[in-house]
Amino acid sequence: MKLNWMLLMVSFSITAPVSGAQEGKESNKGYELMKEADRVNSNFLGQSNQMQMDISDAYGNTISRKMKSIVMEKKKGDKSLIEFESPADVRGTKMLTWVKQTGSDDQWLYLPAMKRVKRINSKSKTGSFMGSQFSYEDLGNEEIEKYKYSYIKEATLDGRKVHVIDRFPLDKNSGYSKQRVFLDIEYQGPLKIDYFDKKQELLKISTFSDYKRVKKWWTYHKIEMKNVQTKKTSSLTWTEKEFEVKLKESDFNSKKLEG
Amino acid sequence: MRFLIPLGAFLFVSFNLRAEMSSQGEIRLEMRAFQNDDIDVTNDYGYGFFTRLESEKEFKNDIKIKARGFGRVYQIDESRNYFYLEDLFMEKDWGNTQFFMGLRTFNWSFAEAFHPNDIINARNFDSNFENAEKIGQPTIGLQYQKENHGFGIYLFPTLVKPNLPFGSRLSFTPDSITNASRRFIDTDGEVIENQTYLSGILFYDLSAFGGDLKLFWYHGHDREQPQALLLPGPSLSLNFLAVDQIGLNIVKEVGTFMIKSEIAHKAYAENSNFQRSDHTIVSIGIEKTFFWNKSQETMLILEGQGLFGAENDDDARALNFFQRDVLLGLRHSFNDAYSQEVFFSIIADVDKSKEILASISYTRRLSDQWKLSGSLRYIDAPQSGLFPVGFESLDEDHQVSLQLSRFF
Repeated sequence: MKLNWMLLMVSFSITAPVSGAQEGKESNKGYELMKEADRVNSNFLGQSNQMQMDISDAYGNTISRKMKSIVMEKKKGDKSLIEFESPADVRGTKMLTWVKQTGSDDQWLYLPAMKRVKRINSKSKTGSFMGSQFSYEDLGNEEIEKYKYSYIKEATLDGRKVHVIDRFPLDKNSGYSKQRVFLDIEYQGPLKIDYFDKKQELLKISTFSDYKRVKKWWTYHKIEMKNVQTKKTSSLTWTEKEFEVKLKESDFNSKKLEG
Repeated sequence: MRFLIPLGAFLFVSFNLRAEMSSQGEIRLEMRAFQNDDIDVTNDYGYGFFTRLESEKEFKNDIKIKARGFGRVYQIDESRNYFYLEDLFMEKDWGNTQFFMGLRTFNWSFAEAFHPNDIINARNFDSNFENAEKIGQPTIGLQYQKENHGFGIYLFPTLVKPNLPFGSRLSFTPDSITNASRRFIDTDGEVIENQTYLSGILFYDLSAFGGDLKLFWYHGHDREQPQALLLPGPSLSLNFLAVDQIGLNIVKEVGTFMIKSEIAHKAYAENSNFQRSDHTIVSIGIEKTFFWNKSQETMLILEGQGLFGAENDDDARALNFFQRDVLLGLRHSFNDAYSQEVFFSIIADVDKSKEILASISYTRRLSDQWKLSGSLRYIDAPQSGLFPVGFESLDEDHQVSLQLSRFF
């Protein structure tokens, strides 16, 4: 298990066997680099976050949402809980995710006005997360075994050395045909990801910035996601990020959602 | 003014626990208007305020106190002046095990319109009857959950009557009836004179294989549709009969579809005073979300409910509002900066009668604190017998409503 690239985590298991999807030397290089990044970003045990999500449309209208989240590293698949704190009309909305190493994740949304716990279809990954440009797929688990890789080249992005790696989702329910990852060699984390839709056209670009060292890990504190087709943007900014936080398994019980 | 008592209790609890307490609420300006029915005793329009307050205090030793309630104060239609507590309970959390005591509301339904297993709370039927507001149930509960499964027992020491808006356009009794006694009947067929009566529910939950399951046994009273009796006077008595209900809820991913089902079997206490047919209600639903360019999405909802075990059609209609009905719903979310959403639904009786309930609603944020919503409802349920049964009493109660909400 490892630190999150997005809101939750990149949680490909280092114990999982190398996928049969890896083909050729350059594919293996891409896979091995991602696996190494996974190893470096592992063992955070528990993570606690305070975040702000800003959602902007093409006309410059912006809404801000504050939320907190906790993530627990688990051998059989990490668990995470996100709770919205503002604005007031969505306050108390919670999303619980149980990541699975194989198969679909379990995900529930709690709607406080109706006191209703609603299971989210894990195959409907392309849906917008709370009206943002982040989809459930973007925020969910990114196990390395769920992609096929192709190493492109070593390059420089904004003055930093990166590996450019293409990854192709194996899940047919993915909203993407390809993701081009710009993996920072020092941070062992992404600086940018280009997302291509099913028609192979560029759909979204996410940029990862404000990297800081927290304990032994380099971690970004801002992601901006831009939909190049609709011109809408969303960003996630971490105001607090803590690792090695002691969490209880029971904090992630679905029964606790109902408050 | 009885609602001021629980409101006072709520505020007392809130202010005494103000330190480190989280609280939130909503004040809503409401307007509701029905098509004129030319009947003097009913109000065809009204406006007023709706308020919901919620506060929660957590102590260091994993004890939590939570309070939540709502109320309305209306001009013209004074039957809409009330306050109900939804939650007022204390909970102790030992990790996998929780114990709680107090008033509490529960949502045990996965469905949009048909909820045969969502039975714990009494309802405020002065709201949309397919998703009626709930009234807090005094409960002593103990529940355990570990990993993906859990079980629990809730005991209910007192009985809570639903709010049935007599003389209102939403009344389930003929408009000429402006009051009726609401009586709970025990297993011997005797009227329970006070509201102290022990009932309870035992349940098991499981999350596995991409789905959730809930299985329970409930011993208590059936408050879904009371048995109506015309007494000498004449006056009307609405009787809530003792029932044992076995319920099973399942929600499961099947490909990109979400399948939901609730199965309820109701067995009534046998006695010489009150009889009712034991019956089984099955509801099943399917949801599918379509994603469009520009991040918009549309959820298609198809649900159906059937009632089995009634002696005949009249008996079935006396047992439940929905005997053989289907719902088709479309929820379109714009996913824009204003969180605009449109929801259209139509419920139709697929049996011999012509009952149709169609509604459309629209919601949008105006700012971080303000939200505007409005809805139209069309109800066509012509009376087929001497007296209206089920939602025949709502026939032609077409309505329009507007709400302006301020969250804080």
